[in-house]
Parts: sequence; C-alpha cells; structure tokens
Amino acid sequence: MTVMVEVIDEELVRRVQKGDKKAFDLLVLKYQNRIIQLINRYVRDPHEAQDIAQETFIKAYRAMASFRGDSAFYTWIYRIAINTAKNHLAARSRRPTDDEIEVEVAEQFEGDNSLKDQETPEGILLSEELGRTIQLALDELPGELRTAITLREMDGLSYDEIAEVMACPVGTVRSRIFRAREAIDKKIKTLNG
Amino acid sequence: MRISMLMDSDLDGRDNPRLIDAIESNPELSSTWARYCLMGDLMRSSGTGILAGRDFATRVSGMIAQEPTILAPKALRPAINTRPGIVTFGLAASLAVVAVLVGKSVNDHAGVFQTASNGQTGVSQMAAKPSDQADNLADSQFNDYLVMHNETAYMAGSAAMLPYVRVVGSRPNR
Repeated sequence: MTVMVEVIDEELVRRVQKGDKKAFDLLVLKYQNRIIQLINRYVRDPHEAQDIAQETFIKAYRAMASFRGDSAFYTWIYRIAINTAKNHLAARSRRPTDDEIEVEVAEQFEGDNSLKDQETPEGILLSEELGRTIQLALDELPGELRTAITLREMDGLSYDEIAEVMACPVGTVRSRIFRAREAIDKKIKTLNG
Repeated sequence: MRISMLMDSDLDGRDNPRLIDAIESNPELSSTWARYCLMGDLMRSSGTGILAGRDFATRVSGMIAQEPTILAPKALRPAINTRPGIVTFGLAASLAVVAVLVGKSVNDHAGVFQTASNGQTGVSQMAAKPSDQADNLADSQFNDYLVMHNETAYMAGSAAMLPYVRVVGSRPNR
C-alpha cells in the first residue's frame, strides 16, 4: 500500500502556522477518532483516552510553530499522543495506595447513591450503532462505488491508484467516491436525526 | 463533491484556500467535513473502536481559542556573513571611518600622534602636551580604544589588515 501524501494536511498546518485556529479545528475533526483509538490501546479506558487525546491536541497546537514538516502531520501527532499516553501510564503507576483508592471510589457515589458510569462515560459515543449503519450503507452501495470508497478509506490508495486498479479514468473514481460518501452520509444524518 | 476531493488531496492546490475558507465559515460545510471524516474512521475500525464524544472537537476548539495565536517565525538570515571578502571589506570600512574620526579628533587637540606596529598587534603611542591633564586623559582613552579595536579586528580574522593606524597631525605652534 502506498502512503499517500496528505497535501490537505500540509495546507491546514500552514494555515495554523499563520494564525488560523479554525484550520486546526479541521485537523482535530479529521484525526480525533484515530488519536483516541490509538491512546485507548495504551490506557484501556475510553474516558481517560478522551482526556489524554484532548491534552494531545493542545500540546500539538502549542508545538505547531516548530513543526517543520519533516514528517507527515499525522505521524507527528501520533508521536505526541503515544508520549502523552505513556506519561499518563507512568503517573498512574505512581498513584496512591489502596486505602486512598477506596476513598476515591467512595467519592464516586453521587447524591442518588449511584456509581458514576465507568463503562460508557458521558460524551463518549460507542461506535457500534454507527458502525452498523455504515456497514448497512456500504452493503447497499453499487459494487463499483463500494470498491472505490473501500480502496480509498481502508487501503489509503490515491485516486490515480484506484483508477489503475479499477481500470477507469480518475474522474470516474472521483465521482464514485463522492457518490458513495453522499449515500453513506444520508444514513448517518438519518441516525443523528 | 469538492469537499470529498479536498479530503483526498485531489483538488488543484490553487482551489484549496478558498474551499477551506468556505468550510471554516459555513457550519453546514464543516459538518459535512466532520461526517466525511467519521465515515472513514468507522470503516477503518470496522465499527468496533471507540469514538470521540459529540462535543470533543468543540471542547478542544474552545481550549485552543484560549491559547495564544501561533505565528511560525520566518526563516532567519544567518547571523554571520561567512563570505570573507565582505567581512574584510566591512572591517576595513569601519577601521577607515574610525581612523578619520580619530584623526579629526587628534587634530582638534593640536597634538601629534604616531603609532607604530610591532608586526603582530598594533601598539600606539601618543605624545601630547604634558601640561594639559584633560587632553592627556582623552588621548589615553583614545589610545586604549585604538588598541582594543585593532586587537578585536585582528581576532576577527582580518589578518591582512595589519591593525595599526597611522595618524599624523601637526603642532600648531611649530
């Protein structure tokens, strides 16, 4: 699989470095889920993963002035995420003794005496329902649209490479990917109401 | 369709800035960007990975808004021009200016100054009217200045410019 140069990331990074904070918002939207999933592989706690991901993005923003583009933006923020996760793990290993942990557990009981939800922390979307929706939408797509979007999103092929694989013009690839996204988007919008 | 192409870095680079401006300023377009990103994430994780909360990006955006605006510095010019010809010329020019200024000052003090070089460093000697203590002090200070300046110039590598200055004045009452 060829690693495609993310020209759009370079463009967004340049804008951030010129003072455009909204460009950084677009980068957050693009990489938030990947970063959270990466961090969760280390900490095994969705709630903590989200907190660490938030910290990761803040750190990345503060370091943007010194980002020279020697590596892709994604690999650069990947490293920040891993280091931040490891720091939290190290701090976690230095946490208080069992007696003090019991106090923390007790503090988690709210006024209604119910334990705070640790399995599904507030604000964290579990992907199962959305995942099912996406899969249903993919199954309903015409074959060439499904192939095009899968090659792009799951295999990371460029439009030129997809055109070669599917033996069609690049313009056709462009159109197929867009139509696939639109069809899936309709399903997602329906789900969100 | 253009957002789809932009996400895949397929647009002509010239169109990117305007489209990004549009996405940043139009909530509907930025929602489309967010959903397209989500699609890819879900497909790659096969629907089994955790996702960011609905307000994650909004919270991060709010925190970024509190941060100082990033302005990456421009590429700095080298602090030292390493071209020897220019360095030597610059030092020569500065020494010449000093020589002119010192010479003028010496003449104004109506003394005779003569320096001699020992071949390694400049050593300046002055003769001044012994009766004028103020002039002696000023001359001494000038002398110190010349010595220090010449030594510095030599250390900077302008060895070709033997660090001495010959200044000749005239005794007004001769």
